[in-house]
Amino acid sequence: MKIRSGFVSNSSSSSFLIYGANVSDVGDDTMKEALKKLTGKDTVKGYREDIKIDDLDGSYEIGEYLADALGLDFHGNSDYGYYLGSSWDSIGDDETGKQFKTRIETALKTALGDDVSVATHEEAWYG
Amino acid sequence: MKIRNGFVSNSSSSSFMIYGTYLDKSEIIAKAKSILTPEQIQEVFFDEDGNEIDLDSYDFDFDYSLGDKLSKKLGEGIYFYGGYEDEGRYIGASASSFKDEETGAQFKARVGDALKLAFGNVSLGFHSEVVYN
Repeated sequence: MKIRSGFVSNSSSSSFLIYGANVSDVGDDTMKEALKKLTGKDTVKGYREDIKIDDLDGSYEIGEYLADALGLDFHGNSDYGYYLGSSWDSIGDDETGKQFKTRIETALKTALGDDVSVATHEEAWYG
Repeated sequence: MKIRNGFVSNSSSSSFMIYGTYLDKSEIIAKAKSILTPEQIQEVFFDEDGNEIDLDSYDFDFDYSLGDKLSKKLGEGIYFYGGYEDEGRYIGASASSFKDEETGAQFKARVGDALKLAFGNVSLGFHSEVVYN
């Protein structure tokens, strides 16, 4: 990933083009419950020891674990929001565009409910 | 497309994720002369008086003249991306432009075949960039 201003490259920058959902307004509690339901456990593996899902701190940490459980990517930060989905360049060679979208939409709606809005999201930021 | 630094949005910025290739401007220009029709070549590379345009001058509009015409030759959804002065250009289709009925392999083959037909045996892959001004 390159960020350019003329020829300037900035390694702290990032961008994504995903099919997925903006989960900024879903709420930490809802994501924690989804994570428990998906894993069937009250804990997740930390670097050194298991962590209680209820003790996870903040949307970013919860989102990363939830994405991992869903087999999706997690992007974002507290400034511009959080996104769960899958990068468009990850579509399988044998998978159609419709199958790719259906797979992600099904995963997100199963975890977070039918109200979650799923679409293509493109964001970039530098800092 | 939004570029953000915190909440700062910059409408002059853009980003892309494409499947395609990267070519130097000189390679694109050389190939263009074998792809475009005589009328298009006249329009792109010659001024109103019939004099050949200096490709290093501001009179030669690489993106809005040559790029646009080449994109139309390359096929549906294939465009030029990036672009700074003497740099080359990415050429390909947005990764989000998969058709519902098209597999990943078919998408790559469609884009790859079009690019190879136009530019020869080019290297293909996904490319992602953010550009801000």
